[in-house]
Amino acid sequence: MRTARSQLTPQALETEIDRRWRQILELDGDGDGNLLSEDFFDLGGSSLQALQLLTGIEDELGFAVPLMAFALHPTKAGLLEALRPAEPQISVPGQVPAASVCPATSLVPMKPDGSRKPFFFIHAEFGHTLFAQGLARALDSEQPMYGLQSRGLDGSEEPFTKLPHMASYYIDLIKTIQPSGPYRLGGFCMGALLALEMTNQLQDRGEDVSHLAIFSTDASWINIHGFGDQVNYHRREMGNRSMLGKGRYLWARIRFRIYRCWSGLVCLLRKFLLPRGRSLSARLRYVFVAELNYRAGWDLPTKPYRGTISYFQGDGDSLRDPQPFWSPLAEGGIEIHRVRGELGLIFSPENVAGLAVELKQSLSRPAVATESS
Amino acid sequence: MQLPARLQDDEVHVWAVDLAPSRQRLCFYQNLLSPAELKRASRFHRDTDRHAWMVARGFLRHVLGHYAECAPRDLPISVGEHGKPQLSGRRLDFSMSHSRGVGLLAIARNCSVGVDVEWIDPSKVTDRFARHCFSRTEYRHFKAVERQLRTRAFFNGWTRKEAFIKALGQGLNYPLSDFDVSLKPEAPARLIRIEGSASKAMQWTMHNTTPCRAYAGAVVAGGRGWKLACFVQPREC
Repeated sequence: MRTARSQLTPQALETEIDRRWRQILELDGDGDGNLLSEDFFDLGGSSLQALQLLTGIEDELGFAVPLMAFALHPTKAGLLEALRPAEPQISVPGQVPAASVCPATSLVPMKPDGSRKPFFFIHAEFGHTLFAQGLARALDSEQPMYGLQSRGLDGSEEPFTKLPHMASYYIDLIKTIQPSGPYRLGGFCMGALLALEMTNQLQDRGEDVSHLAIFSTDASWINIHGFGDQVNYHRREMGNRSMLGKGRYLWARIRFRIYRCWSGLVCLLRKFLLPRGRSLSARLRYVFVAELNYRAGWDLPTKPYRGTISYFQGDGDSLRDPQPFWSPLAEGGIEIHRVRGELGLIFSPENVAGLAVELKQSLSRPAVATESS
Repeated sequence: MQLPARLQDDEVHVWAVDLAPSRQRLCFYQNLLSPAELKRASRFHRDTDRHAWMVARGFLRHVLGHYAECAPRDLPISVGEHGKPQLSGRRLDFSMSHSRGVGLLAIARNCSVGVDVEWIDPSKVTDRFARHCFSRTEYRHFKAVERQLRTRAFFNGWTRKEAFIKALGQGLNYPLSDFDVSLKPEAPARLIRIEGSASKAMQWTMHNTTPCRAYAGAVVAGGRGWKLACFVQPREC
């Protein structure tokens, strides 16, 4: 039997959680286990029992609580906080519900522990930050890292379609972790542009960004305005490849074009379903969010960053020169860090250790005091 | 109590201990605990949980002190980044697990080790719960097991997964669905694949360490070819 989320009042929810809590921990009616602040593991709970509690809640009440979130706050109070229904839907971008122990799904604690200022990593076109989880793991123990994911991936909220709206929403989210600057931001591909847009907005508010890390994103696609540019772009990309490499590149481009046709169709399908009160399946929702991100990627930030950009260039990216795009956008110039791999492959398991070392070095560079003009 | 002479570099020792606390045992082990550990013990709500924890921790200090040639009370046990206890400044790695009055302690030199033991409780095993705990491959194997053997298969799988996660020392950060272990009752304990790669799984070795009938247990340590030696600590020490 499955009780719908909306049918439970807060009191009923609390009673229900209490019942499950007692059942799993085999507590009797009174005495132990009454307080909201009692620790699950102090009450004799094991990790198997924790998982049993959470999966029961997910399957029968329809609330998913990640095991990690529970491990950070293993009390009934922590659980109820994580289960608290989200604030009513607000359509104005930039406004977020009050921070709770289980942060909005757009803010992912990839590695929340550590004493230094956190590094905020912004998603690429696909909207999630899973590909960079290895980087979070490879960072040293004192460096926390948070990921920012597209709103709407979990289907509970409407995704954004414009870069500035996303950036302002992410700024509000990172402020729940670190209320004031200087901030450390970074991103790959679309995430690089978003990191710059966030920097622009933060600087406009008089706040400081001490580090801006750009991962293998020369952003040369922004100069493509017509068919001729397209041909030139792809000729340059194929220039130093073998025949086999050229073939693979072309095949990848063709597959990408087919994918975009398909994701365009998914957008149409959603338009068709919405007025009929139905929604996309989880898999198609990811395709839909990615398509919106591809379209938003053309909307470019223009104001420069007042500090020095740390650019992580893969050894397979030697022909992708970051200077033309990023130089005018970095008043303090660009500092190039050479890493192994090419484009997104710099995050792959065999290359990520070297990338983590370079990122650590770049983050330990003292922030140059920037004059606000 | 009798302890073996030495832990060789290519050995993993696993100790099974009965945690039922007689008054005398409790006193003996309580005296080995650090002030911080006594404080931790006082947070448990139920006496049975507290006593089991104290005996397990005292036993850990007793055995580790012997291997590390150090007074049990002075052992520098600290907590690693993801909550795994470790011994600062020594090449010893260890892992401890307990469930329903039975404890398992695994110790190794030069490699990471993880151990887990669970009391087999048929009421925990549901199809839905298995789907949450296991990877897709594991779940398929689980479903292929005859119905009356599924409880055993579930706890085989769960303790093997937990032992591996403890050997990694990453706590709950490591996704349960990222690796496959064997779980069929007739199959030997084995890590099959890690993140889809069989060669990554070859960098670890897993053994069954079921202490007695109503329990399931497993030990995992880095590397291949090490020898497993098991010891039992009886109730009277």
